[in-house]
Amino acid sequence: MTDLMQTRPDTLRPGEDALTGRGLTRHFPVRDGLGRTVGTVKAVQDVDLQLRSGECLALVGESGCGKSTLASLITLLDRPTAGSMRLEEQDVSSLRGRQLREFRRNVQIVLQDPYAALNPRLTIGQSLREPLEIHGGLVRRGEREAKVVELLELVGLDASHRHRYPHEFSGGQRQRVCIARALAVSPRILVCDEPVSALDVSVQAQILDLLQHLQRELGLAYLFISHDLAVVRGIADRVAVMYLGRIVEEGPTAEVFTHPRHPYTQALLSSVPVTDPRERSTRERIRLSGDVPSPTDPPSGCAFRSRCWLATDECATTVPSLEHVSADHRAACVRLDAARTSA
Amino acid sequence: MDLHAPKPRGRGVSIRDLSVQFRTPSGSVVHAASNVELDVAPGECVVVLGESGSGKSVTARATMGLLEPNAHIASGSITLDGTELLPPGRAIEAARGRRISMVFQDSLSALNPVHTVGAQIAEMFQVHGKLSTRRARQETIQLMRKVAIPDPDRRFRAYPHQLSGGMRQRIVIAMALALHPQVLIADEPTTALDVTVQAGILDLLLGLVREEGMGLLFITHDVGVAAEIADRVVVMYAGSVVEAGTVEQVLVRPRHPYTRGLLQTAPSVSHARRDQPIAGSLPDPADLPTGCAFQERCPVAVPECHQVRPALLPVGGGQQVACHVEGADDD
Amino acid sequence: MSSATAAEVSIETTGRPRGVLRKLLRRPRFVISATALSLLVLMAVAPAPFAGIFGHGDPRACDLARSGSGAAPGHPFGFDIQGCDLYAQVVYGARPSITIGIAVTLISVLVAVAVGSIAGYYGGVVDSVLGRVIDVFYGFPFIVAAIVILTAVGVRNIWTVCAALAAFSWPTMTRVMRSSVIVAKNAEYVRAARALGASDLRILRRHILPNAFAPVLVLASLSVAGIIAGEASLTFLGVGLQPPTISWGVQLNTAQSYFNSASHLLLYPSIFLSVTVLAFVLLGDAVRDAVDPKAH
Repeated sequence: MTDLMQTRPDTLRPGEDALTGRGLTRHFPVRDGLGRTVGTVKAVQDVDLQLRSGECLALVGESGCGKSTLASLITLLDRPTAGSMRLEEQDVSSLRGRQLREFRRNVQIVLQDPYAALNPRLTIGQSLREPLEIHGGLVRRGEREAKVVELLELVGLDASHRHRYPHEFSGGQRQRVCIARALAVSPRILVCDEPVSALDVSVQAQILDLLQHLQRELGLAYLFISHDLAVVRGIADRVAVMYLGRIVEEGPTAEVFTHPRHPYTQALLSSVPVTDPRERSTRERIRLSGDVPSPTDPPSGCAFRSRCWLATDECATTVPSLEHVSADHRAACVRLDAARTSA
Repeated sequence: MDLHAPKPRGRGVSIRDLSVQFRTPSGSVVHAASNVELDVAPGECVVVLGESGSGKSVTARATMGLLEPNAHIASGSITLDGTELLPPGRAIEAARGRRISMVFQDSLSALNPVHTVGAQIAEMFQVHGKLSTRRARQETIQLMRKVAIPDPDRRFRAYPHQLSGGMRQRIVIAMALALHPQVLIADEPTTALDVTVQAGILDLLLGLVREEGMGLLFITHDVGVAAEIADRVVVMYAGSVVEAGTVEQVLVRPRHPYTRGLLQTAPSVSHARRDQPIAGSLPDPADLPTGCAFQERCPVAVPECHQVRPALLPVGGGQQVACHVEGADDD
Repeated sequence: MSSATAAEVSIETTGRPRGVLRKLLRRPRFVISATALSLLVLMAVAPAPFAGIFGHGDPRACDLARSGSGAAPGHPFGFDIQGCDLYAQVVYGARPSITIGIAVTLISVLVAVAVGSIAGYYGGVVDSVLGRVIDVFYGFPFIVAAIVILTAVGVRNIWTVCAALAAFSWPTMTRVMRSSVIVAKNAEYVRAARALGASDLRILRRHILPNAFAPVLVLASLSVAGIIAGEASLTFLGVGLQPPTISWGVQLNTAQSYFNSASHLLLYPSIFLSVTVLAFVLLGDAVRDAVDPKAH
């Protein structure tokens, strides 16, 4: 554990911007059978994002809201159609080759499906040694085996596990291996793309505990992507809510969960079942009508207006921008005053 | 066939001492369900709560007579409205789709991709209800309206892939309801859906229970969903029922250490607090320990737990617990 | 989160790559086919000891007086039309058949891995161009195309027959390779490797090829059988190997004219041919089961 700290002297003080996205936009062309472009999926639209050093920022939203595309953009697995990305002071939007590899040393990703994220033909040890081979300068060849053992123990697995294959492990154990693999290069930022949604409830809690423990020990910053608001509530410092490719609300987790300001956030939160049956008669419910519109043809103005009970004519013409509702809490809605009373 | 007239809805489903085993290719025997006891009365929503391998889906499929060929019902009885459904055969064939129906998690594979959704619902009326094409279409559109599908005349002609996941699940529910079953089994019907869509489906199912007296057996891994809709909750772990009772008994005053652990660690939107997670992982169903299946992860296990499997015993007020430690002490 | 049934759980405990050989050895199908093939290959490599078992090991020591006659002491299969020992002929006939089968398959596998990987991994224009080329070759009926080539070339020996068969047998394997490379390319573990900073070459070598090669390996062992049968068909039709080359195809070709008078001429080469083809097919099946973790 202490070794990991030493290989990566933290140049940032907690709270400084570690990763910044400006105007991130990603459009995918929709092609017909003959390869002609017939439309555009606007997966991510003009997103600004700041991940601060040492914090856990959660990105929540329902399927198709663009949160996984945004994760790909932030990890440079995909390139934005427009917008730029900075890691601290460095513009990383167009990195290639050696510099891109250096970026990957700082920013790592843990994927959703631990069953698919490990090569079935490699032992756990081989999978964990891979990042050390790619970034050959980090750990000397002779010390890599020891590093693999250290990584396994860091995530609560046994050193002997390195000789075994992925299919011999449960989902939770595999996700631990994936986390260890991401940590092998001692990154400062870990993007977790739905890291527990493929796991059983009792195992989810263990992985979340591990992530929190690692964050404290290693001073990691997390971008935690999830559709599960209850999970987010337990782990995130700040939360950003996405709807149809845009961030509609952003703020400290406790504040957003107790005083949501955007109508969509309000509806989303009221839809999540609570675990205490005594609350079900007293809770206020907002039921949204209709489906999420297609991202190829989102409504004009505010994308949520087609399902919003507060929508007015103005919502059809203006794309609302994120406005401060308190020091660190912002929401993108032209009817914030009405939304406040409705919640 | 008037779908809106309340009808007497029989005596529901009773499962007694059900044990289901699977034979694996390597020759070992997996105890997928052991001595399961479960009742669903008319007008009642019973939630079976459990994780992977808990036996919740196997119990449901056994009830529907839809077990895989390598499954074997070792013991037990399942009655629907007093009629014995075991061994699987003519009794369940006659009841399936008519008096008891089932909805699965994956609505896309439950629908035939080459027929319109309207035709698929209408087929239920034509084949089982012996209605004419025109009457079947009228009934179908009425039913689609009932499961809150907007613009049913247009959606009648839609193909499954043209509908959203939530709409498709409503179509599947409509098909299950077409012949007015006494009991509906829903196996994780909302797990693949977004929460805002899930909320609508749960409202729909609960409405059917409350207003029409249908019995609902709802299978889920989600404590929140159970708290939201259940009248009674049955908690399963590694093939056995470990706790059963009313929703308040089980989810507010749980007795079994597993239920307690699950509730303490289940994340919630209303508070950020999380307790120590349950340690360890789910046991291998092909290699269950002697005694209690939860012993290795249990914080209060005593020597007896390693030797004797605890029976599901009443602890007062209708609540039942299968635990040597928590089941024995009071009332 | 799916609630895995007991059956699903049990499936997961099979399929460790290192255990493939051990698993194969436990399958009777593999043991039988591998034993038969070892014998046949040994026979193709060193025919003399096999042919000499009954004391008359020279396939070219012929006595026209015994033309077409049946089994006799020391000549269990009888004699062919030239009065040569049929058993020795059949034993020596294994070499061209098995050589062609294995050589053509090896060439096809090499082409398939190279072309399939490039087309599958890079996609786009490269894939479109290669895809059309594959389709053109795929469209030809295999035997007809080989007949056309061999007729045009005129020279009929093992190598021209190999070339003609190879020219039209690689597309099937290339298509399989291409699609399994595409599957592997989109796997989450490849995305994970890319996020770790792995180069294209490393991703191909370490993650994509090992996972994409398994289906091609299976197809390859099945393909050997098809090629051997193909060679026999070409020769039978008179466009493959020619006498005095000794091969099963040549023997069958000769035998067709004497089917009524000397049916053993057709029988013994066909048995050997069928056993060889069947052994490769069985081997292919066994390999498929062993390398696919989901099969059981």
